[in-house]
Amino acid sequence: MKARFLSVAVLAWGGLALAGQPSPGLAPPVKLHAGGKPINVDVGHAAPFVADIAGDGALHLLVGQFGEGKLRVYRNAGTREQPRFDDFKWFLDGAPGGRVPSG
Amino acid sequence: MDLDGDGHADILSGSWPGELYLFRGLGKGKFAPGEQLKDSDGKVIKLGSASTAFAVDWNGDGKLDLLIGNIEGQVYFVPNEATGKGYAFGKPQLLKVNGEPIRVSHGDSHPIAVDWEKDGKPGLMVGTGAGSVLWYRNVGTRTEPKLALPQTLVAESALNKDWNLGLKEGQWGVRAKICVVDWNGDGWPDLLVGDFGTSRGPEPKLSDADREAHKKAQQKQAELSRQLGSLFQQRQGLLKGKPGETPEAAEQRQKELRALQERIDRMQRELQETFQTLQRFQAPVQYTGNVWLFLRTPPQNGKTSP
Repeated sequence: MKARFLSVAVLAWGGLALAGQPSPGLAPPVKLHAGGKPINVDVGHAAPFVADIAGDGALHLLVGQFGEGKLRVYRNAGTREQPRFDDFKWFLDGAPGGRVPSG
Repeated sequence: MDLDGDGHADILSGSWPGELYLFRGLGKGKFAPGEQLKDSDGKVIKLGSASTAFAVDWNGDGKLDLLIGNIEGQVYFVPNEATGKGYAFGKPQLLKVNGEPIRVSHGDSHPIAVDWEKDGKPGLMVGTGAGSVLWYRNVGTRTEPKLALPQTLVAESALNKDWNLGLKEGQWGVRAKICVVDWNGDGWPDLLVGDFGTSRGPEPKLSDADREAHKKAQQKQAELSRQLGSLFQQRQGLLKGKPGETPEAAEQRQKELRALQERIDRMQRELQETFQTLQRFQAPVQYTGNVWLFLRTPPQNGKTSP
């Protein structure tokens, strides 16, 4: 029982990192912007994914959100080395078939 | 990611109730409406609520499997047992470390597989409900992954300490949803983290009269909450019938319950009005959901990881 408690305590300590400490091997984070301001999705719960969804070599930034379970599709208007995003389209125009249940 | 093997990229998502949704790519950037993903027995796959889904060949057999997260903070591996193209999902297994199933801090796991250290073996990276991102290195093989104890890549959110304070500049929120991609094309994968948080607007300027009204509203809120608490307790008592209760006594009890419920409803409406009054004197709170980019600092001296 004691050994198990110790191993759990070690696991917890090893996994704990305090907010404000730098992340190992990572630069301090910056918010992604679109159209000149930070991307901020409706009712939060942003879920990003980068993919070539049109199969034409252009990268898209997909961002899911809690608000109505919709998905934003931002097309890269910059280059591969310096991506830039302006406006977004709702996946499947925000129709019910393009959403997931969120409540 | 082409799950149905027809040559077009598909989109996969979890959902709050828990079912997984597949949006099949139809080519030329078109997609079919979402359909719930089923296993090889034709049953809808559901492994907990607030589900997340990630398709990856986890066991190196050339077929796309699933990694699933849920509100409990667990990580499921669902093997793809198809003999040809497409998918046939078998029995889900919980991923473990040191023989114990993974269960991340504050639940809301978002597991993905990634070759973070470029050693040819995908390992497990998990966003957590606390807002942190954990990296479980694969210390097994490509076909039999074995996970090491997690390393924290991104710390838990400062919001966990006090939700009322809201997020400050540069602070990320909770419920980390992650994506690994080489953002700046330098050959090293970077990390995107989506979050959920609150932010407080500017504190309103209050006159002395405002401050007095604010104080009165806070006192009223405290008093109403206390009274409501006592009414709830009375209701609990009335809901239990007494053993050997006569039909007349039971009917009397129901009458009292109805009268008590009316008082409770009235008091809850009053409490709601008090909340709204209080809002006028406090900084407005908004929900936020940003996407954070953590660029990888390139390794020095020929090391394979930073």
